[in-house]
Amino acid sequence: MDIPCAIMIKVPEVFGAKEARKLRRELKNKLTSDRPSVIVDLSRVKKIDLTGLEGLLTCMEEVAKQDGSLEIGGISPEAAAMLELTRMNHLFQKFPAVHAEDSQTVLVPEPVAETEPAPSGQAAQPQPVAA
Amino acid sequence: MHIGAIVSLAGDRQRDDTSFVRRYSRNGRGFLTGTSRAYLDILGQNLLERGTAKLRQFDSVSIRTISETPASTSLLPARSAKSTNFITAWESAVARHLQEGAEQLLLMRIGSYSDLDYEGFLRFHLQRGSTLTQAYGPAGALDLALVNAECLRGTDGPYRKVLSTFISEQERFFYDGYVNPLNQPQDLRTLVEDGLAGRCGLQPVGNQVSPGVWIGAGAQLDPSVSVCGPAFIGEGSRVADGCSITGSSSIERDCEVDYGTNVDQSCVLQGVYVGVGLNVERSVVSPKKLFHLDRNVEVQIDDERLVGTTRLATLSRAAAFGRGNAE
Repeated sequence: MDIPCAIMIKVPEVFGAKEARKLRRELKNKLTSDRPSVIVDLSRVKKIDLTGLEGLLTCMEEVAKQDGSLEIGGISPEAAAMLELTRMNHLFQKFPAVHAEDSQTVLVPEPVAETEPAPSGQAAQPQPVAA
Repeated sequence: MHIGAIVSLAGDRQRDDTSFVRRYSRNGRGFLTGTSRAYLDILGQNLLERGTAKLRQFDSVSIRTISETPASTSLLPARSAKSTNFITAWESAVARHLQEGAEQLLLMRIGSYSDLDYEGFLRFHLQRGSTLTQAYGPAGALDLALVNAECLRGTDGPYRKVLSTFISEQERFFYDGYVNPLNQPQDLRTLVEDGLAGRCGLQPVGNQVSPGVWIGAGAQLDPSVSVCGPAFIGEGSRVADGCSITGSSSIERDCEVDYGTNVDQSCVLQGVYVGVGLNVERSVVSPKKLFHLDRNVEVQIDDERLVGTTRLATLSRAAAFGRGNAE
Protein backbone atom coordinates (compact mmCIF):
# COMPACT_ATOMS: atom_id res chain seq x y z
CA MET A 1 0.00 0.00 0.00
CA ASP A 2 1.33 3.45 -0.92
CA ILE A 3 2.11 5.70 2.01
CA PRO A 4 1.30 9.38 1.39
CA CYS A 5 4.62 11.06 2.01
CA ALA A 6 5.36 14.77 2.35
CA ILE A 7 8.87 16.04 1.90
CA MET A 8 9.78 18.80 4.29
CA ILE A 9 12.38 21.28 3.05
CA LYS A 10 13.71 23.19 6.01
CA VAL A 11 15.51 26.16 4.53
CA PRO A 12 18.42 27.31 6.70
CA GLU A 13 18.94 30.77 8.21
CA VAL A 14 21.26 31.83 5.40
CA PHE A 15 20.21 30.46 2.03
CA GLY A 16 22.74 31.22 -0.68
CA ALA A 17 24.49 29.48 -3.57
CA LYS A 18 26.03 26.68 -1.48
CA GLU A 19 22.80 25.85 0.31
CA ALA A 20 20.83 26.01 -2.95
CA ARG A 21 23.23 23.49 -4.56
CA LYS A 22 22.78 21.18 -1.60
CA LEU A 23 19.01 21.50 -1.81
CA ARG A 24 18.97 20.68 -5.52
CA ARG A 25 21.18 17.64 -4.98
CA GLU A 26 19.17 16.22 -2.11
CA LEU A 27 15.77 17.00 -3.58
CA LYS A 28 16.69 15.14 -6.77
CA ASN A 29 17.26 12.00 -4.73
CA LYS A 30 14.05 12.42 -2.75
CA LEU A 31 11.60 13.09 -5.58
CA THR A 32 11.19 9.49 -6.57
CA SER A 33 7.42 9.12 -6.50
CA ASP A 34 4.85 10.65 -8.85
CA ARG A 35 2.89 13.64 -7.56
CA PRO A 36 5.20 14.38 -4.61
CA SER A 37 3.98 16.58 -1.75
CA VAL A 38 6.56 19.13 -0.74
CA ILE A 39 6.42 21.54 2.16
CA VAL A 40 8.91 24.39 2.17
CA ASP A 41 9.66 25.72 5.64
CA LEU A 42 11.11 29.20 5.39
CA SER A 43 10.52 30.13 9.01
CA ARG A 44 14.23 30.18 9.92
CA VAL A 45 15.40 32.26 6.98
CA LYS A 46 17.10 35.53 7.87
CA LYS A 47 18.95 36.05 4.62
CA ILE A 48 18.17 34.70 1.19
CA ASP A 49 19.87 35.90 -1.98
CA LEU A 50 19.11 35.45 -5.68
CA THR A 51 20.89 32.11 -5.88
CA GLY A 52 18.80 30.91 -2.96
CA LEU A 53 15.65 32.06 -4.69
CA GLU A 54 16.81 30.32 -7.87
CA GLY A 55 17.27 27.18 -5.79
CA LEU A 56 13.66 27.41 -4.70
CA LEU A 57 12.62 27.92 -8.33
CA THR A 58 14.48 24.75 -9.32
CA CYS A 59 12.68 22.94 -6.55
CA MET A 60 9.36 24.24 -7.90
CA GLU A 61 10.27 23.09 -11.40
CA GLU A 62 11.11 19.60 -10.22
CA VAL A 63 7.86 19.33 -8.26
CA ALA A 64 5.86 20.73 -11.18
CA LYS A 65 7.45 18.24 -13.61
CA GLN A 66 6.09 15.42 -11.50
CA ASP A 67 2.70 17.08 -11.07
CA GLY A 68 3.28 17.42 -7.35
CA SER A 69 1.92 19.76 -4.71
CA LEU A 70 3.92 22.38 -2.89
CA GLU A 71 3.19 24.77 -0.07
CA ILE A 72 4.97 26.93 2.42
CA GLY A 73 4.91 25.46 5.89
CA GLY A 74 6.17 28.56 7.65
CA ILE A 75 7.80 31.80 6.61
CA SER A 76 9.94 34.39 8.36
CA PRO A 77 9.23 38.10 7.76
CA GLU A 78 12.60 38.39 5.99
CA ALA A 79 11.78 35.58 3.56
CA ALA A 80 8.27 36.92 3.03
CA ALA A 81 9.68 40.34 2.13
CA MET A 82 12.09 38.80 -0.40
CA LEU A 83 9.45 36.58 -2.01
CA GLU A 84 7.13 39.58 -2.32
CA LEU A 85 9.91 41.76 -3.78
CA THR A 86 10.72 39.20 -6.44
CA ARG A 87 7.05 38.23 -6.95
CA MET A 88 7.87 34.62 -6.16
CA ASN A 89 5.01 34.59 -3.64
CA HIS A 90 2.64 34.37 -6.62
CA LEU A 91 4.49 31.31 -7.94
CA PHE A 92 3.98 29.45 -4.67
CA GLN A 93 0.26 30.25 -4.83
CA LYS A 94 -0.03 28.55 -8.22
CA PHE A 95 0.73 25.13 -6.74
CA PRO A 96 -1.98 22.95 -5.28
CA ALA A 97 -1.66 22.78 -1.50
CA VAL A 98 -0.61 19.56 0.16
CA HIS A 99 -3.79 19.49 2.25
CA ALA A 100 -6.02 19.91 -0.75
CA GLU A 101 -4.24 17.07 -2.48
CA ASP A 102 -4.70 14.54 0.27
CA SER A 103 -7.00 15.37 3.12
CA GLN A 104 -5.53 12.59 5.25
CA THR A 105 -2.03 13.96 5.13
CA VAL A 106 -0.73 14.81 8.58
CA LEU A 107 2.01 17.37 8.77
CA VAL A 108 4.47 17.08 11.59
CA PRO A 109 6.17 20.43 12.28
CA GLU A 110 9.55 19.00 13.26
CA PRO A 111 10.86 16.09 11.21
CA VAL A 112 12.10 13.14 13.20
CA ALA A 113 13.93 11.26 10.49
CA GLU A 114 15.51 11.87 7.13
CA THR A 115 13.52 9.62 4.91
CA GLU A 116 11.53 7.28 7.08
CA PRO A 117 7.93 6.90 5.95
CA ALA A 118 5.18 7.59 8.46
CA PRO A 119 4.36 4.64 10.76
CA SER A 120 0.65 4.81 10.01
CA GLY A 121 -0.52 3.92 6.56
CA GLN A 122 -2.61 7.07 6.35
CA ALA A 123 -0.25 9.65 7.76
CA ALA A 124 2.40 11.54 5.89
CA GLN A 125 5.73 12.18 7.48
CA PRO A 126 7.53 15.36 6.41
CA GLN A 127 11.14 14.65 5.64
CA PRO A 128 13.97 17.14 5.92
CA VAL A 129 16.00 17.90 2.86
CA ALA A 130 18.06 20.97 3.55
CA ALA A 131 19.38 21.35 7.10
CA MET B 1 18.62 91.77 14.84
CA HIS B 2 21.53 89.47 14.05
CA ILE B 3 21.03 85.80 14.83
CA GLY B 4 23.93 83.39 15.23
CA ALA B 5 22.74 79.87 14.54
CA ILE B 6 24.54 76.67 15.52
CA VAL B 7 23.18 73.65 13.73
CA SER B 8 24.40 70.36 15.16
CA LEU B 9 24.06 67.08 13.37
CA ALA B 10 23.22 64.28 15.73
CA GLY B 11 25.26 61.10 15.68
CA ASP B 12 28.36 60.07 13.81
CA ARG B 13 31.06 62.45 12.67
CA GLN B 14 31.78 61.00 9.26
CA ARG B 15 29.34 61.81 6.53
CA ASP B 16 28.52 58.59 4.74
CA ASP B 17 25.43 58.41 2.59
CA THR B 18 25.16 54.68 3.09
CA SER B 19 25.55 54.73 6.84
CA PHE B 20 21.89 55.25 7.62
CA VAL B 21 21.33 51.61 7.02
CA ARG B 22 24.55 50.27 8.36
CA ARG B 23 23.50 47.98 11.17
CA TYR B 24 20.97 45.24 11.27
CA SER B 25 17.90 46.13 13.20
CA ARG B 26 14.68 44.23 13.38
CA ASN B 27 12.64 47.31 14.18
CA GLY B 28 14.47 49.63 11.82
CA ARG B 29 15.96 51.90 14.48
CA GLY B 30 19.28 51.50 12.70
CA PHE B 31 17.74 52.69 9.47
CA LEU B 32 17.64 56.39 10.31
CA THR B 33 20.61 57.23 12.45
CA GLY B 34 23.16 59.95 12.92
CA THR B 35 24.20 62.62 10.49
CA SER B 36 22.72 60.53 7.72
CA ARG B 37 19.25 61.65 8.83
CA ALA B 38 20.27 65.26 8.21
CA TYR B 39 21.49 64.39 4.71
CA LEU B 40 18.61 62.12 3.80
CA ASP B 41 16.45 63.59 1.05
CA ILE B 42 12.76 63.65 1.82
CA LEU B 43 10.65 64.73 -1.17
CA GLY B 44 13.67 66.22 -2.88
CA GLN B 45 15.52 68.04 -0.12
CA ASN B 46 17.28 66.94 3.04
CA LEU B 47 16.49 68.12 6.56
CA LEU B 48 19.71 70.13 6.85
CA GLU B 49 18.92 72.11 3.70
CA ARG B 50 15.31 72.59 4.74
CA GLY B 51 16.36 73.70 8.24
CA THR B 52 18.96 76.19 7.02
CA ALA B 53 16.52 77.52 4.40
CA LYS B 54 14.08 78.29 7.23
CA LEU B 55 16.85 80.00 9.20
CA ARG B 56 17.68 82.21 6.23
CA GLN B 57 14.21 83.72 6.48
CA PHE B 58 15.60 85.81 9.35
CA ASP B 59 16.75 89.24 8.15
CA SER B 60 20.28 88.72 9.41
CA VAL B 61 21.64 85.32 10.27
CA SER B 62 24.94 83.47 10.16
CA ILE B 63 24.91 79.69 10.37
CA ARG B 64 27.56 77.29 11.64
CA THR B 65 27.07 73.57 11.23
CA ILE B 66 28.89 71.06 13.43
CA SER B 67 28.72 67.29 13.77
CA GLU B 68 28.13 65.76 17.16
CA THR B 69 30.01 62.84 18.63
CA PRO B 70 27.90 59.68 18.89
CA ALA B 71 27.72 60.12 22.69
CA SER B 72 25.90 63.47 22.42
CA THR B 73 22.24 63.17 23.21
CA SER B 74 21.03 66.66 23.98
CA LEU B 75 20.84 70.06 22.39
CA LEU B 76 22.68 71.87 25.17
CA PRO B 77 26.15 70.46 25.92
CA ALA B 78 26.40 69.28 29.51
CA ARG B 79 28.16 71.55 31.99
CA SER B 80 30.68 68.80 32.72
CA ALA B 81 31.06 67.62 29.12
CA LYS B 82 34.65 66.61 28.38
CA SER B 83 36.51 68.41 25.67
CA THR B 84 35.72 66.39 22.57
CA ASN B 85 36.01 67.63 19.00
CA PHE B 86 32.31 68.45 19.10
CA ILE B 87 32.59 70.45 22.34
CA THR B 88 35.60 72.34 20.99
CA ALA B 89 33.75 73.10 17.76
CA TRP B 90 30.63 74.16 19.70
CA GLU B 91 32.57 76.50 22.02
CA SER B 92 34.39 77.94 19.02
CA ALA B 93 31.12 78.48 17.12
CA VAL B 94 29.61 80.37 20.09
CA ALA B 95 32.74 82.52 20.38
CA ARG B 96 32.72 83.36 16.66
CA HIS B 97 29.04 84.32 16.73
CA LEU B 98 29.62 86.59 19.72
CA GLN B 99 32.61 88.20 17.98
CA GLU B 100 30.46 88.83 14.93
CA GLY B 101 27.92 90.67 17.04
CA ALA B 102 25.12 88.11 17.30
CA GLU B 103 22.36 89.33 19.60
CA GLN B 104 20.62 85.98 19.88
CA LEU B 105 21.98 82.47 19.50
CA LEU B 106 19.72 79.88 17.95
CA LEU B 107 20.76 76.32 18.76
CA MET B 108 19.25 73.46 16.82
CA ARG B 109 19.84 69.77 16.24
CA ILE B 110 18.83 68.22 12.96
CA GLY B 111 16.94 65.02 13.50
CA SER B 112 13.20 65.35 13.71
CA TYR B 113 10.89 67.34 11.45
CA SER B 114 8.52 70.07 12.57
CA ASP B 115 6.61 72.91 10.97
CA LEU B 116 7.56 75.25 13.81
CA ASP B 117 7.78 78.88 12.72
CA TYR B 118 11.16 80.24 13.83
CA GLU B 119 9.97 83.86 13.62
CA GLY B 120 7.15 83.11 16.07
CA PHE B 121 9.60 81.30 18.34
CA LEU B 122 11.94 84.31 18.33
CA ARG B 123 9.01 86.69 19.00
CA PHE B 124 8.00 84.62 22.04
CA HIS B 125 11.59 84.58 23.32
CA LEU B 126 11.98 88.36 22.97
CA GLN B 127 8.55 89.16 24.43
CA ARG B 128 9.36 87.10 27.52
CA GLY B 129 12.79 88.73 27.82
CA SER B 130 14.15 85.27 28.40
CA THR B 131 17.80 84.29 28.70
CA LEU B 132 17.10 80.81 27.39
CA THR B 133 13.97 79.52 25.66
CA GLN B 134 13.53 75.93 24.53
CA ALA B 135 10.84 74.66 22.17
CA TYR B 136 8.70 71.69 23.16
CA GLY B 137 6.25 69.58 21.23
CA PRO B 138 3.58 67.20 22.53
CA ALA B 139 6.18 64.43 22.92
CA GLY B 140 8.98 66.49 24.45
CA ALA B 141 11.82 68.83 23.50
CA LEU B 142 12.16 69.76 19.84
CA ASP B 143 15.93 70.30 20.00
CA LEU B 144 15.58 74.00 19.35
CA ALA B 145 16.61 76.82 21.70
CA LEU B 146 17.24 80.54 21.70
CA VAL B 147 19.82 82.13 23.97
CA ASN B 148 20.25 85.81 24.67
CA ALA B 149 23.81 86.28 23.47
CA GLU B 150 24.37 89.30 25.72
CA CYS B 151 24.24 86.98 28.71
CA LEU B 152 27.21 85.01 27.37
CA ARG B 153 29.33 87.98 26.34
CA GLY B 154 32.28 88.66 28.59
CA THR B 155 31.71 85.62 30.78
CA ASP B 156 34.50 83.56 32.29
CA GLY B 157 34.99 79.93 31.51
CA PRO B 158 33.50 77.67 28.87
CA TYR B 159 30.18 78.83 27.41
CA ARG B 160 28.57 75.47 28.12
CA LYS B 161 29.06 76.02 31.84
CA VAL B 162 27.53 79.50 31.70
CA LEU B 163 24.65 78.22 29.59
CA SER B 164 23.91 75.45 32.08
CA THR B 165 23.19 78.07 34.76
CA PHE B 166 20.34 79.43 32.59
CA ILE B 167 18.51 76.11 32.35
CA SER B 168 16.69 76.40 35.69
CA GLU B 169 15.10 79.69 34.65
CA GLN B 170 14.44 78.83 31.01
CA GLU B 171 11.18 79.66 29.27
CA ARG B 172 9.31 76.91 27.48
CA PHE B 173 7.73 77.50 24.10
CA PHE B 174 5.03 74.91 23.50
CA TYR B 175 4.32 74.02 19.89
CA ASP B 176 1.26 71.94 19.06
CA GLY B 177 1.67 71.89 15.28
CA TYR B 178 3.06 69.17 13.02
CA VAL B 179 6.00 67.20 14.42
CA ASN B 180 7.50 63.96 13.12
CA PRO B 181 10.27 62.37 15.24
CA LEU B 182 11.78 60.47 12.29
CA ASN B 183 12.95 57.73 14.62
CA GLN B 184 11.89 54.81 12.49
CA PRO B 185 11.30 54.08 8.80
CA GLN B 186 7.56 54.18 9.49
CA ASP B 187 8.00 57.83 10.57
CA LEU B 188 9.78 58.61 7.31
CA ARG B 189 6.97 57.00 5.36
CA THR B 190 4.37 59.00 7.31
CA LEU B 191 6.25 62.22 6.64
CA VAL B 192 6.35 61.51 2.90
CA GLU B 193 2.62 60.73 2.84
CA ASP B 194 1.84 63.85 4.85
CA GLY B 195 4.04 66.00 2.62
CA LEU B 196 2.42 64.69 -0.56
CA ALA B 197 -1.07 65.12 0.90
CA GLY B 198 -0.35 68.66 2.13
CA ARG B 199 -0.90 67.70 5.75
CA CYS B 200 2.39 69.36 6.73
CA GLY B 201 4.67 72.05 5.41
CA LEU B 202 7.12 69.66 3.74
CA GLN B 203 6.91 70.77 0.12
CA PRO B 204 8.02 68.38 -2.61
CA VAL B 205 10.88 69.87 -4.65
CA GLY B 206 9.85 69.61 -8.29
CA ASN B 207 7.24 70.57 -10.82
CA GLN B 208 3.71 69.50 -10.11
CA VAL B 209 2.90 67.99 -13.50
CA SER B 210 -0.58 66.80 -12.54
CA PRO B 211 -2.59 66.93 -9.32
CA GLY B 212 -0.44 65.37 -6.61
CA VAL B 213 2.40 64.32 -8.93
CA TRP B 214 5.76 66.09 -8.57
CA ILE B 215 8.67 65.48 -10.92
CA GLY B 216 12.17 66.82 -10.19
CA ALA B 217 14.41 68.51 -12.76
CA GLY B 218 15.89 66.11 -15.28
CA ALA B 219 13.85 63.12 -14.16
CA GLN B 220 13.06 60.75 -17.02
CA LEU B 221 9.92 58.66 -17.14
CA ASP B 222 9.23 56.36 -20.04
CA PRO B 223 5.82 57.17 -21.60
CA SER B 224 4.61 53.70 -20.64
CA VAL B 225 5.14 54.39 -16.92
CA SER B 226 1.93 54.54 -14.92
CA VAL B 227 2.04 57.14 -12.16
CA CYS B 228 -0.93 57.35 -9.86
CA GLY B 229 -0.72 60.41 -7.60
CA PRO B 230 0.14 61.43 -5.07
CA ALA B 231 3.68 60.59 -6.08
CA PHE B 232 7.15 62.12 -6.15
CA ILE B 233 10.00 61.39 -8.56
CA GLY B 234 13.16 63.27 -7.71
CA GLU B 235 15.74 65.13 -9.72
CA GLY B 236 17.72 63.06 -12.22
CA SER B 237 15.86 59.85 -11.54
CA ARG B 238 14.90 57.43 -14.28
CA VAL B 239 11.87 55.17 -14.40
CA ALA B 240 11.95 52.60 -17.20
CA ASP B 241 9.29 51.00 -19.42
CA GLY B 242 6.34 49.28 -17.87
CA CYS B 243 6.88 50.50 -14.31
CA SER B 244 4.10 51.73 -12.08
CA ILE B 245 4.40 54.21 -9.22
CA THR B 246 1.38 54.25 -6.95
CA GLY B 247 0.14 54.81 -3.41
CA SER B 248 1.89 58.04 -2.38
CA SER B 249 5.29 56.64 -3.29
CA SER B 250 8.44 58.71 -3.43
CA ILE B 251 11.51 58.07 -5.54
CA GLU B 252 14.24 60.43 -4.47
CA ARG B 253 16.95 61.94 -6.67
CA ASP B 254 19.38 59.95 -8.84
CA CYS B 255 17.40 56.71 -8.59
CA GLU B 256 16.75 54.19 -11.31
CA VAL B 257 13.70 51.97 -11.34
CA ASP B 258 14.23 49.32 -13.97
CA TYR B 259 11.83 47.64 -16.41
CA GLY B 260 8.45 46.47 -15.24
CA THR B 261 8.90 47.18 -11.55
CA ASN B 262 6.00 48.29 -9.36
CA VAL B 263 6.56 50.73 -6.52
CA ASP B 264 3.53 50.97 -4.27
CA GLN B 265 3.18 52.82 -0.94
CA SER B 266 6.97 52.95 -0.68
CA CYS B 267 9.94 55.29 -0.38
CA VAL B 268 12.99 54.72 -2.55
CA LEU B 269 15.85 56.68 -0.99
CA GLN B 270 18.31 58.76 -2.99
CA GLY B 271 20.67 57.04 -5.40
CA VAL B 272 19.01 53.62 -5.28
CA TYR B 273 18.83 51.23 -8.21
CA VAL B 274 15.75 49.00 -8.15
CA GLY B 275 16.06 46.00 -10.46
CA VAL B 276 13.93 44.52 -13.23
CA GLY B 277 10.43 43.20 -12.66
CA LEU B 278 10.30 43.71 -8.91
CA ASN B 279 7.40 44.48 -6.64
CA VAL B 280 8.31 47.08 -4.03
CA GLU B 281 5.37 47.31 -1.69
CA ARG B 282 5.03 49.04 1.71
CA SER B 283 8.80 49.40 1.94
CA VAL B 284 11.61 51.87 2.40
CA VAL B 285 14.49 50.98 0.09
CA SER B 286 18.10 52.08 0.52
CA PRO B 287 21.09 51.04 -1.63
CA LYS B 288 21.63 47.75 0.20
CA LYS B 289 18.57 47.26 2.35
CA LEU B 290 14.85 47.07 2.27
CA PHE B 291 12.71 47.79 5.28
CA HIS B 292 9.24 46.29 5.09
CA LEU B 293 6.88 48.62 6.93
CA ASP B 294 4.16 46.11 7.80
CA ARG B 295 6.45 43.23 8.69
CA ASN B 296 8.69 45.66 10.59
CA VAL B 297 11.76 43.93 9.28
CA GLU B 298 14.97 45.04 7.61
CA VAL B 299 16.37 42.81 4.87
CA GLN B 300 19.97 43.03 3.71
CA ILE B 301 20.22 42.80 -0.08
CA ASP B 302 23.74 42.35 -1.41
CA ASP B 303 22.78 41.49 -4.98
CA GLU B 304 22.87 44.61 -7.14
CA ARG B 305 20.59 42.98 -9.68
CA LEU B 306 17.83 43.49 -7.12
CA VAL B 307 18.74 46.64 -5.25
CA GLY B 308 21.92 48.69 -5.46
CA THR B 309 23.46 52.09 -6.00
CA THR B 310 23.09 53.98 -9.26
CA ARG B 311 26.12 55.33 -11.09
CA LEU B 312 24.70 58.83 -10.78
CA ALA B 313 24.57 58.51 -7.01
CA THR B 314 28.17 57.33 -6.87
CA LEU B 315 29.28 60.33 -8.94
CA SER B 316 27.31 62.86 -6.90
CA ARG B 317 28.61 61.40 -3.64
CA ALA B 318 32.18 61.62 -4.92
CA ALA B 319 31.54 65.24 -5.91
CA ALA B 320 30.10 66.02 -2.47
CA PHE B 321 33.14 64.55 -0.73
CA GLY B 322 35.36 66.52 -3.10
CA ARG B 323 33.60 69.74 -2.09
CA GLY B 324 33.92 68.80 1.57
CA ASN B 325 37.68 68.36 1.25
CA ALA B 326 38.02 71.69 -0.51
CA GLU B 327 36.24 73.42 2.37
